[in-house]
Amino acid sequence: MKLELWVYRLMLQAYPKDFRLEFGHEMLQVFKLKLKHAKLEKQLPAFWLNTVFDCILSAVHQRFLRKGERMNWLKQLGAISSLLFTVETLAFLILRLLHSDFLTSLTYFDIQTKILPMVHRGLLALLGIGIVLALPAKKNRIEMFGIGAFSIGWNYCAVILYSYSPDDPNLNLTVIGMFSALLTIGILAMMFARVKLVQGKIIWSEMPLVARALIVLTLCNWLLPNVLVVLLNWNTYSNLTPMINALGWMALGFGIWNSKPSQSSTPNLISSL
Amino acid sequence: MSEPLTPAVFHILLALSDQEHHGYAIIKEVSEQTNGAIKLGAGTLYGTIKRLLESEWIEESDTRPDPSLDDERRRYYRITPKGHAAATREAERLEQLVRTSRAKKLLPKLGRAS
Repeated sequence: MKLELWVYRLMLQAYPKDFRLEFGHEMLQVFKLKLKHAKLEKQLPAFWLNTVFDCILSAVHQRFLRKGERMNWLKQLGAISSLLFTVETLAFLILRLLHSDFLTSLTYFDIQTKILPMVHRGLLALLGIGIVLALPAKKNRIEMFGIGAFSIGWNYCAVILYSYSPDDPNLNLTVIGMFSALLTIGILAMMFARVKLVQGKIIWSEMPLVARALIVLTLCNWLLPNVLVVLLNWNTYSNLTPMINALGWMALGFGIWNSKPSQSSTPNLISSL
Repeated sequence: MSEPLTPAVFHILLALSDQEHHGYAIIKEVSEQTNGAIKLGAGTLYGTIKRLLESEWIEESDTRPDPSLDDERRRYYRITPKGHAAATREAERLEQLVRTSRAKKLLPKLGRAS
């Protein structure tokens, strides 16, 4: 039962501190009793599923209640997606620890296919939580979820394009990456033009959060890895991309953490398009 | 007219209407009341309890059925007159709904149920 309790203690961290201090001990006691019952009834999968969903929904609810805000559907969706992503990553991590023998038979292939993507996803998950919990303004949160949706949507498009490309796969990935970067640069150019029109000049710290996010995303996710592949003829695309991505997302997360709310006079993504 | 209560709030008030309970006992009672259809999770339960405490519909109880058998830090909750009144209002609202359902023949008339 130790591992299960450890996992639940970790899940309790999703709740606000004051809520955890007031009810954390009792929740742990209830969890222990329910787990015991589920083991006796052999209903462990259903028990875990219920526990995870209960934790996600109630933790999000408590977080937003604490900030004195009523959740609209978009914020709720975004917050739940981020937390689901985190839980998924944690679940992957636990499953890997429980079932794999990678401590004894760790191969280069394992590092490439299992560990690096996991670390990458973990960082994204942390960023997701950071966005939900730390963004100073409602508008910023919605913009960031918009960026996330755009990024995921475009990644899916890239995967579809890639699957229809018959030739050299590395070349196709590079072309798609460059094309993504150009598309984003185009969007940014339109935004900059509008910011300049409204503010008269462009200052990084006063730019809309969404523009800063797009710049980092473009540099780290699409442009830099592909330029390096083309210019330096590096044959380490799969090594390089996750590392640059991770660093970029960390930098972005840090920047967001310390950012000021977007000024109301600055345009958001939708109005820029 | 007051707003309908959420299922979690009503079931918790119902569980506490005749007896003081601790958290896990409330979960068990609610599960029994609904034939296992509603299984409250710890997060939902304590989130709702927090709200009910703030609205003074329930309160913490000092008495314990058997302190020697119980965890010292386990808290018992009991319904307040305010909470009782809210649960009664909700029960009356549900009763009215059942009456309407009978009038519209969604439910059989009383006495004719098999």
